[in-house]
Amino acid sequence: MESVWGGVLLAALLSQAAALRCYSCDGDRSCLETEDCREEQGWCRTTSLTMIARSRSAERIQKGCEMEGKPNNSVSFFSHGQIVLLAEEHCATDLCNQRAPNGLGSFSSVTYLECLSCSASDHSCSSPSMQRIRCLDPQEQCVDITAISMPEKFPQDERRIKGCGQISRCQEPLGFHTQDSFYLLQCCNSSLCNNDTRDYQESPLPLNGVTCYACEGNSSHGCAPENITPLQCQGPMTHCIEAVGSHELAGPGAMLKGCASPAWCNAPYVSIYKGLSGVQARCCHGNFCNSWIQEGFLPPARRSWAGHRLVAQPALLYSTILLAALVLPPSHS
Amino acid sequence: MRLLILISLTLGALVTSQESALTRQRLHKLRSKYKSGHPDCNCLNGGTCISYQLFSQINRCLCPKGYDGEHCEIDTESQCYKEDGQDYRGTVSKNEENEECLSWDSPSLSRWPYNAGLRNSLQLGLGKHNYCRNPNGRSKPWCYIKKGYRTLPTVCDIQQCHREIDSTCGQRSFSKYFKIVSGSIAAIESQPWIATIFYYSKRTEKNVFVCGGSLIDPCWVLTAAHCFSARGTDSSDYRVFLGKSKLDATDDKEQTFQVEQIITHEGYMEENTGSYNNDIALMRIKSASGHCAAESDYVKTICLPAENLVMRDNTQCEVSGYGKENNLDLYYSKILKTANVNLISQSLCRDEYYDPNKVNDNMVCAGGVQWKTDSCKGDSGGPLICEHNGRMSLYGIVSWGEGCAKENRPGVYTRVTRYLSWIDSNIRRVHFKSRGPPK
Repeated sequence: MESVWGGVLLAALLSQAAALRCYSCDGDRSCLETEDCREEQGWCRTTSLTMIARSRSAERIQKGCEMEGKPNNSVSFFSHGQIVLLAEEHCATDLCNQRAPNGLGSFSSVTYLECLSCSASDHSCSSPSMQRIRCLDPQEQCVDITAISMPEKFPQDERRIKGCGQISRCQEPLGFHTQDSFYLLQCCNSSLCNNDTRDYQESPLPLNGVTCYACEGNSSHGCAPENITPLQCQGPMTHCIEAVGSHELAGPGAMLKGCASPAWCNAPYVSIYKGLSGVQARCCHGNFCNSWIQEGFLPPARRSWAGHRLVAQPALLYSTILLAALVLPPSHS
Repeated sequence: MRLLILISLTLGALVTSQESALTRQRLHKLRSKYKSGHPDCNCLNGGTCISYQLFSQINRCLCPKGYDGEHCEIDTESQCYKEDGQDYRGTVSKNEENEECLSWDSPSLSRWPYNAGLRNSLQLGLGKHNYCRNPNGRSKPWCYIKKGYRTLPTVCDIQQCHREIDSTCGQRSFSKYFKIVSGSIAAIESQPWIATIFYYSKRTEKNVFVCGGSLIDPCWVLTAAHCFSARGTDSSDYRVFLGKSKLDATDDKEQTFQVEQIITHEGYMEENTGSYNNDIALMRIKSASGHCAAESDYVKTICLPAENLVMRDNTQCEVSGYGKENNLDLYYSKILKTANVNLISQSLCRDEYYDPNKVNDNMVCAGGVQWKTDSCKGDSGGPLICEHNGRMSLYGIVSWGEGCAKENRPGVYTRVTRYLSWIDSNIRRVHFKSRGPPK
């Protein structure tokens, strides 16, 4: 008996030890507070926002626990006459997020790529004469980030940014759209190459002939059967996507269907832009192929197309076992 | 002599720190009420919050012209300080001997009573800068300087403002005090910001008087939400008059408006719940020719109060309207009247005159001397104005009360300072300079 309790204690200790610890704060670099991460949070995060004006600069640093899988990204651009630097880094060991990402990069005499820069917040992205920005790091490329969501959940979001940056997995265009939202992250690697001036809201990309199901919400609201509507896909978004996860506010069972670019399918941006965690996503090619998720969960993947009935049988078997376990009374009680 | 000043400054800092600890808590509470699920940067002075989804929703304030700082709290155009300079948010950073001030976030100030690390530093104007401030009610803005190994507070080299010139809000061409209940007539010139709201009956083609209101911007009238509970918020049903001296007569001084939009506070509960919490509403007005209000001797805007303005108990303020002169009267007063009322302490009003279920911090109470004057039915939505910095500010909106001018039953008003962000976000004026005068 004692050994059983010992085992329980050991297990408790082990699970204690397993909890990650991260620095946790919102302010400047002098951060001493820490937090114990929840089970599903396997990483520590540091996000920094630096603004450099002529006379002074201001910095804001946020640290805390984070779900695994988020990319390390950075971007720098002009907005209202200031340079804005955004950077986010992740790491996976206790208190590893001590150092703030060095948003400024290394000031060296070597000159790196030059990119066009603008931000939606000062309406400069529609201006014919865009500013130019010199990248501060050899790893940086020219980036063009669009994030539009209607109805505006966060009306104050920056909808378009052009500048220098490192965006994970953006060699191919990263894109996703539904009727109400449109995301497109593009990178390129030559001087001033981010010169696409199309306003994706005013003049949508040409249709590519693919039609997918689209919805956003959960199985009773937003993605109920009557909410799921056909959507004609635009530009590089040639695949249908469907995803389920747990929404930061609405909770589990959050669903999403729409058109996505192939690169988007394997990238973590669904969870970032839609505030979802524990995302299971599935991309497919072909009209209306994203119809698997209906009740807020992704059914187990079929092993082969022929095995349609084979899948049903183990399921039946499992439920029989489960039923038996419930019906048969425990022998010791 | 200078030493004396320094000593008194330091002493003052010690004495007032206790008091400010109290206001600090209060302000802190006040703020957290506005916090909701979405990111909030706490931008002041009409700044806009923008966030970056790709970077964990980190956000920043976009400041209107003339403002700077993480929360747009720094007024880069301010040339002088008003009164004792507690509201000074300008950028002078030198003392009278032209010595550079220490930054409020400097490590050497961490053990001094005033520094950027205080929980209410934003309210006090302290931050990552070395601009002169007056967080503790001294005679003028000051800062710490370093003299050798010693840190000393010193008075700054800033001039006091002579008088504001750039704004017209809260200034009347003529002023005189009258009363509403047991009162006499107020010329419209003494309350040029008062608006009268009528329900326009399409069937009878007649205007029915509903409520009073206050012109806070040429295009916006602030009133009470309960004014719309009987007849709804369809803007085409209402008309607004400005510069109107008599309810039942028209003259060439008045301006007539249709209503483009009515915004009642989303947290306002109908009366049947017994609570008038969040009794506030905005109306966007437009004349038949498509214009907003034009300034004249009879039509002017009232200033909105400063965000952190808490007037002292017993301050004399004014309430005006076209309401009944007696609760039992059948008819509304046909002529604009004004009464003097005194602000009543929050705890007295909440715990003694009413009860905590009815009165909360979103309200402010006021009553006449010996309960002889009060606002009354029909004054609803109208202004409770108090003088601050030499001009009139809209401190309250006539909301409710038990009876009128009844002993121990003061009038209860919506506390406007609690709704400045709400007003701001609904009016969505980026350049809402100092929450004051419209340009």
